[in-house]
Parts: sequence; C-alpha cells; structure tokens
Amino acid sequence: MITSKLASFVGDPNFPEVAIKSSRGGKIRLYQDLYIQYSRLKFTRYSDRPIAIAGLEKRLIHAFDTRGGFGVFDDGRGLLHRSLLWRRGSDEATLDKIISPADSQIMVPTWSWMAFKGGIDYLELPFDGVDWEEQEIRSPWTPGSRGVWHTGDQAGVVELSAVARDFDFTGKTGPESKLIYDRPPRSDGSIQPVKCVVVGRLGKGAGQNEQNRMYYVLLVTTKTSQVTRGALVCERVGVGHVLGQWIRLDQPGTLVKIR
Amino acid sequence: MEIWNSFPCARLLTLGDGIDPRTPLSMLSVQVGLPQLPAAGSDLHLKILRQWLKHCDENHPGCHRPETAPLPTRLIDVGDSASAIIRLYETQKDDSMKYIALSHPWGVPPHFCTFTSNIEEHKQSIDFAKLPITFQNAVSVTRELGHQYLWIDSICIIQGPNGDFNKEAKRMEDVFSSAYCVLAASSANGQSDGFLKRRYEREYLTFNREGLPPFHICSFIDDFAQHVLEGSLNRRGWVLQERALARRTIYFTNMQTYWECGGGVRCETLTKMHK
Repeated sequence: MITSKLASFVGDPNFPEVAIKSSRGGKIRLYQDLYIQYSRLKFTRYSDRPIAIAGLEKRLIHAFDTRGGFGVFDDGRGLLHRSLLWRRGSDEATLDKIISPADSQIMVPTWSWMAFKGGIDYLELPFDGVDWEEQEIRSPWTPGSRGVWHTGDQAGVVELSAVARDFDFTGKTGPESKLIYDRPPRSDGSIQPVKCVVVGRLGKGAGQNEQNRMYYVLLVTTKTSQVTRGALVCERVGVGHVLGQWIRLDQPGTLVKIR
Repeated sequence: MEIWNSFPCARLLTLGDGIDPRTPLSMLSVQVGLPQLPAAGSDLHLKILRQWLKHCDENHPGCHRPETAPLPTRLIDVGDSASAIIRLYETQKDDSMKYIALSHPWGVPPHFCTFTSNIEEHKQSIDFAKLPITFQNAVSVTRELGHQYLWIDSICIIQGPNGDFNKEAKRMEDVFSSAYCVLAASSANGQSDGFLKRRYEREYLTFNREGLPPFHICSFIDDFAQHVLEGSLNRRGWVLQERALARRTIYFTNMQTYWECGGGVRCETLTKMHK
C-alpha cells in the first residue's frame, strides 16, 4: 500500500526535492518504501525490473550524493550495508529468479532484489546504533566516487567481496535469531551448504559480549566450485539476524565473491 | 475560482460531507462544480484540461520543465492546423519543441510498434485509423490541447531485434521529466481499448428554489487515492517512475479525470485537493 509520505515524494514535480529535505532516517524510509512498493508491481517483461526504476534510482543517487546501483546505495557510511539487508516480503512464498533475455546487457547480481520476482521488505533495524562491518564485506564500487549510477554499467558481473563464515543454527529459534531464505528450502531436506557473511551488529549494550550480540548476516551458498582471484564464487540465498555465538567467529572464514 | 467562470457550474453538496441537512445553505461553503461530468473527449471536457494546464503554466513556476530539457530521440508529429498527417519525427540537435508523453499499459498483443522493418514507413506517415484506440485518443487529446508532438514508448523506441530499447530505456528519466505534461491512460487495459470512454454516471438530486439558482446533492466521487494511486495502471512496474518524474499528469480514470502537479490534485468535478 502506498504511504501518504511516499505519495507526496512521488507526486513531487521535482522528485526527489521533497525527499532530500528530510532527515537521514527519512531518506532511508523513502528508498525503502519506494522499493518495497516497486518490487510488488507487475511487468510484462520482468527483465525490465532493473531499468524501469532507473530514472528514480539515478536521481536518488545524485540527491543522496552516493554511488550505487541495483537497488543499493553506497555512501561509505553504512548505507550499502543497510540497503543489502532486504528480505523476501512476508507475503511472498518464494522469490523466483528472473531469467534475462539473450540480448540483455545488464547482469543483475544475486545480492540485488532486482534479480528476483516478487515483493521485498527490509530487516527492521534502528536508524542509529548498528556497527557496520567494514572489513568482511566490501563495496563493488570505487570509494570516493559520488553520484555515479552503476546499474547501466556493462562491465560484466558486479561482485561484492566478502568473508563467509560457518554457522550452526540447527534447532535454535527464538526472537533474537531469524533466517529468511529468498527461496525457502524444500521440506525434503535438500539444503545446500550455506555460510553467512556478517554485514553489521547491533551496538553493544551494557553487559553484552560478542556471544550475545545480534549479528545481521547475508546467507550465501557456492553454486559451483568456481574460484576467481583466490575467492570462491557465491550467490546470496537469504538474510537474517543471529546471535554472535552461533557464528564461527574464531575461524578465519572463506574469501568469497558474491555474484 | 475565477478561471471557472466560463463553465456552466452549479452549487453542489456532496454526500459524505457529514452536513446536517437542516443547515441553511447560506451558512455552508458549498462546492462549485459540475453535477454531471461532460462526455469524455467533448469540448467541455477538453476545455477543463486546457484550463488546468493554463492555470499551472501561469501560477506554478516550480512545475515548469527546465528550458534546457533534453528531447527524446524521436517524437510523433501529430500534425498542425495546416496538415493532419501523423508521422514519426527524429529530433534534431537544435530542436526545442514541447511534447506530451503517454503513460499507458501495453495490455495483451497485438501491439502497435515501430520496428526496424517499418520505421521508414512511420517516418513518412502513420494512418490514424490504423492506430489502436488508446493511441488514437492520445493523438486527439494532444491536438485538442494545442500541441504538435507526442511521445509513446512503443512507437518512439524501436522495438524487437536490432531495436534501441536497451539504449532508450535508460533515457526514460529525461522523457518523462522533460514532457510538457503526461497523459495517463488509467482507464485503458491495453493499447486497443482507449481512455476516452464513457464514465460511470454520477448520481445526483437537483433542488430548484424559487427565484434562486438550483443546487444539487451529488454522490461523492473525488477519490484520487482509490482511482489513481490504487488503480490498475499504477500496479504496472514502469508507471511508478513515469508518475514520479512527470511534472504534471492528467489521469483519465473510469470515474473522472484528475490533474496532478506540484500545486496539488484537481478533479474534473472541479474539486481541488491540497497536498
């Protein structure tokens, strides 16, 4: 459902002028509301999904003075991390991958919701108070560049460099831990080996340690044993939040490229 | 309200206002408007659209497109008073014409398109009678609004193999933000059924008072959220940015026509809604 705030942004004859006058939190709400709504719209050709919003994406990238593309913004201050933490909409049973036509010039990576059909939401995070992981997940784009829109780049696949860690989540449920697969595994138990990439962690409260801190993670799986520049090629398969104690933080982890 | 003086307006009370019926009329701020909408595409209907544009042109500098706005690669020339020939026109470097853009659902095939095989033919002329109804309506409204150039994606972008969709699709930002105004074919389901259709008839009662002008009690039909924001055209992926980028849009819905610009929303019933 369109919110009246979003309606006023979208009705702005000089979009996104109204939006950029709002706070950082307001800007986050704007792009989230925009993509939550857009991801639920219908297409004759779903492969148009990255491009039918390009005009607005470009304007937001300029207005926010960031770089970005494929539905994420990178301001070097955690916006990339935050915008990567999209999830399958609670009203969607599964997100099917969009098959690109043969003449398509845009290769959409799996860390982008634009690669899938169906509605998304975002993990609920505070606007402040999340420590973003700067070492173990790296932007695909050159730091420092401003106002650059990358969805239309035709330089092949756009990768996120990351460290993938093992985690053990079997039998552990509770309000503090939740994994949301983009395509939930079938009940026959054919689950591929999944690792997690730490994107951020909730600020440490009094009496907290790494063990009982909330970690925000992407779930990734290796599709093949393909290796590129010393890193394993992976795809995103989900997102979630877990307690630090379920992640193998004591081991070095595996270098991966998320495509 | 002075700009509406040329219309046969009437005093209206709309149901749903929650007004005590015993309240004397003189104490109410009664909406001036049309109890019965004019036929879609009629002179009066088009006159209202022209007044909306004129009012915005004269009063809302924030809604104007920049002078240096880039033009689309191609436009449809719908002719002028001297010639009614419709043809595809490739814009030139020094051109600076105003144009109207159409936001519409493609619907089920067949689709009227420009391909590499017929682009030369379309540059010579396009037969009005061969256009699907939605595009005929867009050509008619463009002409009636006093404009010569129209942009429609399926005609102005070369579709199919060896077309230029991949290149042109990325220019959509300019196409919609630089348009003089956008026509939204909200009531059309596809290319072939048009948007200048018979609308749902509004119910109203007329009260004739001796020696005084009559007034009308009308069912309430001003619902931009329901008819436009929640309407079927707005469920189409491409349309979100078309609406966001457009400076001014005229929405042709099944119930009535709406105007949206930076100044707010206007209804064909003559109600004005502020943001």
